[in-house]
Formats: sequence, structure tokens, C-alpha cells
Amino acid sequence: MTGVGMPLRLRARLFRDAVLVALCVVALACAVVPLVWVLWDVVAVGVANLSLEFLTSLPAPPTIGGGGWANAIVGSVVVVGLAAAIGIPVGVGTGIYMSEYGANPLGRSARFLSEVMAGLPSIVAGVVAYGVIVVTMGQFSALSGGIALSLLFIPIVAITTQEALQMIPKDQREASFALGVSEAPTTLRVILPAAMGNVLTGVMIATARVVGETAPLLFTVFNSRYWMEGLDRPTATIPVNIYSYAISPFEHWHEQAWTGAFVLVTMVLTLNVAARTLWARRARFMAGR
Amino acid sequence: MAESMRTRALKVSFGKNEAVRGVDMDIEPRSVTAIIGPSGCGKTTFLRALNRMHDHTPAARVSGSVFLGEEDIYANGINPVELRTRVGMVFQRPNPFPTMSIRGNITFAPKRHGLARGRELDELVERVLRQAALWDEVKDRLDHSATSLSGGQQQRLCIARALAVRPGVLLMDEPASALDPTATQKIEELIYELKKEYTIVIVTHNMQQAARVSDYTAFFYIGDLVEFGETDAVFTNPREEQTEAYITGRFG
Ligand SMILES: Nc1ncnc2c1ncn2[C@@H]1O[C@H](COP(=O)(O)OP(=O)(O)O)[C@@H](O)[C@H]1O
Ligand SMILES: [Mg+2]
Repeated sequence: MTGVGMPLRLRARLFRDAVLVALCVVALACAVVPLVWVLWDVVAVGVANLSLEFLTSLPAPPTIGGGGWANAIVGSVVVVGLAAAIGIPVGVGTGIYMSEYGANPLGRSARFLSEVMAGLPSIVAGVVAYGVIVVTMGQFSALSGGIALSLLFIPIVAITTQEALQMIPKDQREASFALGVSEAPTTLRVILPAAMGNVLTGVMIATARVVGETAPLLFTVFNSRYWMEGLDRPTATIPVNIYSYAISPFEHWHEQAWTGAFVLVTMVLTLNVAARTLWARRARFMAGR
Repeated sequence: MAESMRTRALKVSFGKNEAVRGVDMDIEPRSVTAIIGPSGCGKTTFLRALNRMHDHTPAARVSGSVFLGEEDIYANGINPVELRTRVGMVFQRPNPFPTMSIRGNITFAPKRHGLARGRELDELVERVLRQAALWDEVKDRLDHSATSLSGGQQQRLCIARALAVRPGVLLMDEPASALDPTATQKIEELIYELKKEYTIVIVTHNMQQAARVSDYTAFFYIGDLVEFGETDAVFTNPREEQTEAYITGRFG
């Protein structure tokens, strides 16, 4: 050891470490600053105009002012609810098939298809639902919107379900088989509940993804100025409203677009927190605490 | 009701690897049969052939026959799921269901099999937990998660859970190998009690344990049943040189 060389090399290494950390901090800032900025705008501008009227009444003509998005809030809940009502059973079912019975060409194709569909541009889902349902029914409808969104919902849930089930140790299946319990109840009562935390995360991610989708809804649910009249009718939704209000020439509508965005973000956040709180209890139980 | 088991020319292979190479063994009811031998000699593989667990391993091929009482369990028309209610199994690592309570772990299978309902379920839970010498430790927290128990308690819960479907035969694959000495002793005492009502086959790599708990001992070596007889005889006066070498610790 020369007594000079080592500290120098060491200093060089420490310098490299410091540079790396600095670069990471810069990258983090690039990611976080715009996010915080956008959220801040949404909250600041959105809250400023939030009122009971906005949440409970129908839109008013722009020349009058006031009015609310109640029909769009209901519409979004219904359309996303439809997407979830279709997407959860189909997605979880597909995930179960791929995980438990999928070691065959059908299972592998299902996985491949799910991956392709998970990357599907949302506008394509809209066009498909338009071509298949809107054209057939002869009109825009909440139902076709729900189906369009479910095309985006299903693959996310299917893939996360498959991966969640596969993480459950083999000894859980064997424990159940050894008690004379057959495959179906083993999957549904032992394996699926053990994987529920991750399945739920998949459902949350899928919901968060579809709730803000605008493009597929433009082709399918379209829009409406009135309360929802039925699943087979055009319906107002928050994202489509944000879009059409934001590109309108009215200052008052621009403000409402921000408020709508705030309501949308709040809905996703509330759903997330609620699901996580419910799940935390269950997770504590499973951890034996 | 305790039943006897017999294997004839039982072979199990995984691809080209023949893990059990033609074993004839008679397992007496209401007794403990210990299976010993160096690691990888096919003990687990043999045990899992006795309740058709290999049905779930696509690579496994089983040939020969296994009789439960007078019935060949590999014959056509035998339902392996139903069979396992008669031949229960306890695994090397405790594997309670973490999503279920202590009570739920026990009642899960009996409910599905329609063995008990309502009050009967409570009685069943108490009976098997007493049999597994766990009742006093858990009676006040039956609704707690099974994972709140210690490793030794979890293993006794798994034994109680297996007893709850009323098997005649209980297979145990190194049930104490993951446990500390105190928990191990509890399991051994338990096995001694259980053999009054059940036929027990236990795999162990612990020779003292085999000597302490079993009536019969089978020594396996590279897939062959080298020696099988009353435990006293096998340990004090082995017929085969390999057996002697193994039990005196010269290899293994
Ligand atoms: N699922 C399996 N797939 C392939 N080979 C296996 C499998 N299980 C066991 N074997 C092989 O069978 C042989 C016996 O294993 P095992 O019965 O587990 O031994 P033991 O329980 O005596 O330690 C080993 O060579 C092992 O590699
Ligand atoms: Mg083994």
C-alpha cells in the first residue's frame, strides 16, 4: 500500500457515489415536480369552485353561469361500475384459469392476449366498442362505454390475478388436497383468499386506469346534459365533460373543468384509501397480529 | 377407524429418476411405522404415494399397488380426493391456512364434506384440539389467525386439522424437523397417544425419534426398502449391513 494511492482511489469512488446520488435526485425531481404542480393546480383551482351546486345539479347553459356536474358524476360511477362488474369476474376468472389450469396452449394464448390487451391504446377499445355495440344498437349508451372500459380493465386484473395466485406457496394447495378438498374449492377458498391483497391491488390499478379514460367514452357513451335515462342511452361522464368544457370558449366552464378534475382525483383517492384500509385489517389478521 | 395399508411392487419415478424402486411393505393398524434413511432416498416420495399426492405432480409416474384395507387405491374408480379423507397427511413445514382462524382451519374440510354442522362443529373443534394437545393453549382465541401461533402450535393445529376429517391413516413427513426440542417432544407424545386410534406412518431423519415413537421401522436406501421390521429388532440387531452402518451413524 502506498499510503497515497488508496485514499485517492477512495476519494474518486466516493465522488462517483455522490454523483450517482445527485443524478437520482435530479431524476426524482423531474418526476415529482410536475406531478405535484399538476395536483396543486387541480386542488387549488378545483377546490376554489367546488360547491354543493356543482355536486348536486345539472349543467347550466354557459351564458347563465352556475350549474353542476351531478349527472356526469353519476354517469362516471355507473360506467366505471359497469366496467368493474364485467372486468372483475372476467379478469379474475381468466387469471385463475391462466394460473391453475393454464399450462397448455389455451392458457399461454390467454396470457399473450392479456399482455397485448394491457398495452392496447384506449382509443382502440373505444373504436371496437363503437363498431360492435354502438353501431348495432343504433345509439350511444352507458353500456357500450362500460364494455369499452372493461376491455382495458380485464387484462390488468387477469395478469395481476395470475401473478398473485402463483405467489401462493405450493404447500397451501397440498394442505387442502390432503384434507380431501378438490381443486375448485381449494382455488376459491384457500388460494384466492390468500392472494386477495394483490388481486385487490390489480383491481385498484385497473379502476384508476379506466376512470379517467376519455377517448373510448367519446365513441361510446358520448354525452348528455340530462340525468342518466338508462344504460342504453347516451350519458354524461366526468372525463368527457372535462374535455368538452376545457376546449370551450367560456372562462366559467374552464373553472368547472378543473373542479371536475378535482372530483375525479378525489374519487380515485377515496376508493384507494378505502380499499387499503379494509385490506389492512385482513392483512393484520393473516400476519397473526 | 384405523386401517391397515400394504404396498406391492410400488414404484415411483420422476422422468428417468426412479425414486422408489419396487417396495413391498405391510403397515399395521394402530401402530407407528417409522421410515428412516439418508436424505434423497425416497422417503417423502414413498409417503406421498400412500395418499396419491403424486396425482398433482405431472412428472411423477406410480406403478404397482397400494392397498388400504382390501382396496387398491390406484384401481380405476377410486376417487383420490375421497381417498384423502381416509388417509390424511401432515407436512414437513407447518402449513396452516393464513386467511382462516384457528377454528376455521379445522372446520374448513369437515364443512365441505358435510361431516358436521352447527354445534357439532364446536364439539369437533374441541375434540381434535384436545387430541392434538393444543386445546388448553388456544381455547380462548379460536377466532384468532392460525398464523398467530408458534411453529410448534401451528404443526399441532395441522395435526388437529388432519384428524378432523376422521382419517384411518395419518401420514407424517418429518413433522418435527422444523421445530425446537420442546415442540418436538410434544409432537412425539402426541404420536404416542394417537396410535391408539390411528395408523401412523412417520418419516424422520432423526434416529432417536424413530426409536422412541415407532413400533416398526423401515430403512430406505436409494429408493429400495433395505430393511423392515419391529423397531427394537431393527435398532438392536439389524439384518443388513447398510442398516447397521446408517443407524450407527457411519453414513447418512
Ligand atoms: N417433484 C419431484 N420432481 C422430480 N424429482 C423429484 C420430485 N420429488 C422428489 N424427487 C426426487 O426423488 C428422489 C427422492 O426424493 P425424496 O422422496 O424427497 O427423498 P427423501 O424424502 O428421502 O429425502 C430424489 O432424487 C429427488 O430428487
Ligand atoms: Mg423428504
